[in-house]
Amino acid sequence: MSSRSFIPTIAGSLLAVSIGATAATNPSGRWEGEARIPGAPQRVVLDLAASPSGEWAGSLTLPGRGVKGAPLDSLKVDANGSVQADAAGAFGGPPSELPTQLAVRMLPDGRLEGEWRQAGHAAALALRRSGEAQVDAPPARTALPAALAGTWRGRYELGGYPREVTLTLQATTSPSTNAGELLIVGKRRSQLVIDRVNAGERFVTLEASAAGIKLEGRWDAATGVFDGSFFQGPFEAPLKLQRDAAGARSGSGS
Amino acid sequence: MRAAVHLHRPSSAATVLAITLVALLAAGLTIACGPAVAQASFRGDAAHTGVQTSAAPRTLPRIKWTFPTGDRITSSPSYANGVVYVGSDDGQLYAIDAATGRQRWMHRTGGPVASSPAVGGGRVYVVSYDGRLHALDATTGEVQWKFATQGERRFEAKGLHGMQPRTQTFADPFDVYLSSPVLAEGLVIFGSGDGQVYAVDVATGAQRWAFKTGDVVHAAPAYADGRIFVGSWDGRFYALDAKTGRELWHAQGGVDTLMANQQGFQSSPAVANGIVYTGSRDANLYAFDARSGQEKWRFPTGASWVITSPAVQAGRVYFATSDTSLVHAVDAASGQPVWQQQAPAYLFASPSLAGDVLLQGALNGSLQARDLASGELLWDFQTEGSQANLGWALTSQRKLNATMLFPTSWHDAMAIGTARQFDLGSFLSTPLVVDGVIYVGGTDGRLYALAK
Repeated sequence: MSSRSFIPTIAGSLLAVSIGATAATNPSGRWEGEARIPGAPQRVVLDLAASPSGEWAGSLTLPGRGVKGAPLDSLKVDANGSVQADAAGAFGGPPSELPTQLAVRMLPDGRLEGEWRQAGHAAALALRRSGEAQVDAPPARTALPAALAGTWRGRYELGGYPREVTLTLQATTSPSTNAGELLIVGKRRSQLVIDRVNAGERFVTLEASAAGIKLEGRWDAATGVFDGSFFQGPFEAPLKLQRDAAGARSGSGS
Repeated sequence: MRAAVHLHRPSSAATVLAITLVALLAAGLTIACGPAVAQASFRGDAAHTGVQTSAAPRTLPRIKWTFPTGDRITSSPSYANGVVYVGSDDGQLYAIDAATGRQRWMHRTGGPVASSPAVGGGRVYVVSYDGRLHALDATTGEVQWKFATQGERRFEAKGLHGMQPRTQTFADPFDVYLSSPVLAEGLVIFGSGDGQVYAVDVATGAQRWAFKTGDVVHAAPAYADGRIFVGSWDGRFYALDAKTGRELWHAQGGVDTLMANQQGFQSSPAVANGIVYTGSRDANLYAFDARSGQEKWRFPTGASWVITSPAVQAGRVYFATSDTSLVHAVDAASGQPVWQQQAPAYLFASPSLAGDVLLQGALNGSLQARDLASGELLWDFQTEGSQANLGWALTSQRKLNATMLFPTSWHDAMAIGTARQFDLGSFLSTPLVVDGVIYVGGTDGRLYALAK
């Protein structure tokens, strides 16, 4: 996961004040504290900042859990300094019906208190401001360009066994739209949804996030060749794909 | 097939006579004790069918007593003449009065006793991580003899299960059991972390034969019709002549050269009607012809290990899986599914068939009872640790909370997560049912006696 930090400007913080929170209830900053999970208290670092356009952004760090700068989704900050966010991205893996969330409100003494929810449980969460916000920007995502659309085929090998790969991509207009399907046939057959794309002119990253699978490499629209790697957990294998002769197909994704 | 390796053979007529006498003595003792249950060992009988001699309650039982030990109980209890025997990872074998839960005696070994004791002929036999098979007087706990292997160890591999760094060799934290001995033909037969299957004279503790496999043997051998059946972590399943240790056949299971995850036989086999059934970490339950080794059928489980030992009764095979946490009933002749039911968490302990009830322990600290015919849940007993759920090791749905247990794949994280999981009071131990009372150990270190 790539991550970039940005330090919110004073102007940004002031703008945040102007759009809702008063100075006394402005939750912008770095907050540190603890979720009181029975038997295993969890340290929590929360960064919250408002952008110049007034949109709130946040990220979460859970020391000891391998979580640094995980993006907060559905972040809501109200005029009273109450903060609610979805932190499902902190742990990766397939979507869970039991959300990972935090909900805190600002107390008169300037602390944030509320709840940390995970796996269907809730624990008291208490945070103190420790400095300026250092929000990690979420991983960059793009739509899938039409030049990449089409059916790509190839194979990779892990542990001495070949896996046949068929990658079917559709052009999209939004980063949040699924871009196609990844079919892997080895000992088993896995049909996966490509739901994350970061496409540059020559380099592309495609993810099937529910399975923790990533394809990354250079691509050439003219020759129809993708030359890169397959990643899953600790495993990486060279992967070369060739686009079907039909070539690129344009059109928008579903 | 390959040639069998003979390291030791019975060498004298006197020894053979002694074996015969001990075998007769053992048989006589069982008969002399009448129709009531005199003794019961791991998986019931030597064929390891998993069929109990008594029915289990169909309604949630109460705790009759618990017996605390000093560490996890991985061992499955055995029973003889009013005494329950169970090993603990605290290094001791315990003899506990079945009626009162009071300790009769304990025997200290030099390592965790993660093996299930075998009882017969007035003796109890158990394997310890000290690398020894201990033979004790069942009444007094007095040591009769000890037999030393070349030493115990857990299965290990580079980058095992995706642990990192991939070039590092890791011991398998899920290799939780030691081989449990089986008594047959006047021999105590068991597997070892040194890769061998040993046969030792019940009377003297002298080695009669040893058969070398390619890796750790922690499955419990099963015996039927003069044959020993056992799988190894080398990915092979073996049939051996019980008297000589000569290899009769072997079958090849899956081999995982990537991370050694989908290979090895940790499941202990069961034999019934000329067919031997075994689970494998290669995500299959296998049925082999016991005589020829020909594969009759296999039941694939996706990528889910079958660590549990199958139970067989009335034309059905019952087994359970780890990651998919399913309890399966399949037709014993064809392997066709009869029913399957979802359990809350990984299943390592084996199903016990007790009357019309199937008992199945889970790693979340639940012991569940199911109707044998339909698989419908009858009751769910939860250990105190499971109910306390410290550190949210379980979700609110009582499933294992992987994000809390296994946050990374680096270094010792998997071993640490596994240890946290076992704080729940997981059931690795397989339940034993005697006179309507369920005996089962928890990783909270307690032996539970549950009854109506």
